[in-house]
Amino acid sequence: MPYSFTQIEQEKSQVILGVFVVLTALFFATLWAAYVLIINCQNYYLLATEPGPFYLVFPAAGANFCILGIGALLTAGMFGLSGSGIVPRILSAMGARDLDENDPRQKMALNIIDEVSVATGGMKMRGVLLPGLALNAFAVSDPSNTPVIGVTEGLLYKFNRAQLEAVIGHEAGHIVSRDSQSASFVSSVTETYGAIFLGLKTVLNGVSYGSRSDRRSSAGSVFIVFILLLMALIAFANFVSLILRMFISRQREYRADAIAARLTRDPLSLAEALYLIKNHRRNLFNAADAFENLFIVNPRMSSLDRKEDLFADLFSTHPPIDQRIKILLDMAHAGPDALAARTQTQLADMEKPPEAAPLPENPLPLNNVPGLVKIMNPSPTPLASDPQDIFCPACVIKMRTEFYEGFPVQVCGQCAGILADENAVSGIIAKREMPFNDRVRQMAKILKQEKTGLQYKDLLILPPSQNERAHVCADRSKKQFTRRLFNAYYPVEVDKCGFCGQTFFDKDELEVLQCMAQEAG
Amino acid sequence: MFSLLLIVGIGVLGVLIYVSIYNGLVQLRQNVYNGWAQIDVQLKRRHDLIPNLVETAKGYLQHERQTLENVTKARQMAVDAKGVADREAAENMLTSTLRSLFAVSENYPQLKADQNMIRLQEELTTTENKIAFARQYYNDEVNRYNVATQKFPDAVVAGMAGFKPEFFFKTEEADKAVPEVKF
Repeated sequence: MPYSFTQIEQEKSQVILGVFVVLTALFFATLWAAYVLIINCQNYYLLATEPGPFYLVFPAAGANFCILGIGALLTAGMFGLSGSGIVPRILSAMGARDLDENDPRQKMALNIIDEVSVATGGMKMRGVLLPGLALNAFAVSDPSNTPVIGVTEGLLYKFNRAQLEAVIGHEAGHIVSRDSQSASFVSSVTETYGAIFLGLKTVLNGVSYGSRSDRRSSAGSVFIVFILLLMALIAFANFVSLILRMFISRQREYRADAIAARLTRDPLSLAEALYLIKNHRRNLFNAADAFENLFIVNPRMSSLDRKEDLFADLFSTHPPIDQRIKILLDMAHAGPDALAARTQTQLADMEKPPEAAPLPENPLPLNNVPGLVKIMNPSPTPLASDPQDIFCPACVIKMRTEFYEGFPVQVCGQCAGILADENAVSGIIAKREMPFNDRVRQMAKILKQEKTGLQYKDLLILPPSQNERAHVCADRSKKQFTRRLFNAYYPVEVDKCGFCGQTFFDKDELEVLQCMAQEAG
Repeated sequence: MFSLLLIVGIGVLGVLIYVSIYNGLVQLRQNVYNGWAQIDVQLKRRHDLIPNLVETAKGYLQHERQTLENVTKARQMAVDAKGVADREAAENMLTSTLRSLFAVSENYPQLKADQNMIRLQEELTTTENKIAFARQYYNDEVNRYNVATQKFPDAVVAGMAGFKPEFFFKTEEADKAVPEVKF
């Protein structure tokens, strides 16, 4: 029998509370066990001076209370540090900005947030927009700020009103049940373990490398054993609480889905939204790696969320998306076929490949491909404004920082050229999450066939005069790019600065390079 | 001596339980009032939007004067209505006239393309949704409150302190939604 959303909400709340209690109890138990270890270590040291039989000592009743108190203080301190004022920090880290009332679509999102607020009985919420075309949304709150709901640009413009409402309902569900606060509390407990572990490691280093002349070797080695035992204890507790934490995180997602259904009475739209997110190919959202548990679907380990094996069960912050969809469909008394039918046109719209440019007979150099029209540099001096601004070498307009495969690069809004430093380039080549489109694949193939057996001297291509690109090096001097092939294995023409190591890729060049690197084997 | 202490103890315990239940009921009733106030705010908002809507639509809907007049009339009735039952009827009336206005405007592509109209339509959509959500919240809270006043031991306190059950805010659709079963 399918559960109703109120049943799910109640059940999940009980489970979360229970695990929460276990987690806290584990923390105090660990502290107690650590204390027992420490006093027994002291006991052993005393034995070294006054020989006698060794026996285990347990703390006195008063000491037990002291440990409780210290534990509570530690957690409270950590909670205070981690929980207060996190909202502005997270927002600026993700590059979020407030929703704009003058943009009709963003105004609609603001209206929807107000609607959901009415459904909760008047809770205040602030709406922000995250740059990027991934489909995702998040909620964050702390005791001293208005709770925030964020949606990505992709979500805002690709979802219909009901789906947007459902997603915002889910996020409001997190806020209503104070998931953000409880998450930062739980993580503060884990941070305490980490801090203790680090402290112990320092002590251990001091003992093993220190030159204490008065140290008796047997007592010293016992001390090391005690420290190692303590570290093992803390590591174990940390591991268990990590698993419990992930478990709570997943239960929260189920609960937020249920609350969304309660608030909007529209579980089908939420199921649709999740289905679209699941089937949206380009859904990586790298700017948000550190905050994955805040999002409606995990922005990082998307493959893990789809699997349903033991490993995924234990270590994922989010439950399998299919499971969530199934529960929501049960609530709506609908089948999975209805879902596919309802979202078919939307999905087709989203996954439409970019219009392919026809390939020329001889695709070299890449500049001649019609799809890669370049705007020649009209004047090599960019309009100087902010010294921090970086200008596109081809179009001389300000570039914006974006994340490409997780690496910060400068992207030109006009010619889609990409400026990346050496670290980013090597990282990007090694990493590819999305499939390439046929055009890129074909260009890579042709390039590889044309250019084989290249020598180092072949790599440099002297720039024709009209192709000179102004480039402002990291040292602010105006150096010029050298037009060259990337390397002998991947003969893609790029502009590289010999001084700061930055490389400028025209549209598609970086993708072709990646394609060559990935599909070489 | 002991039995006296016991009696006093039970007495104090009883008072404490009474107070806590009483406070719980007050909180629940307050939620109901808040819910009602929210509905009120949203209904007023809708009343404020309608003159604008009629003004914008007038230019395009020369031949639909009757529909526009109905909306204006229904709005006036809703503004004047007093008491839960009257307001319920008037507001539901207004909802249905608005619906017919939007149905009619489907035939006028120019009206649908009017920027002002698009903005107003979004405003009305959100207001309608807010009304629906406010009503939903209100009814949920009424339900919680009514159940509480009927359950033991809260029912005893409710009876003594005079907590009366509240009324649900019904919608037209809810009344109509009697399932038709055909064999």
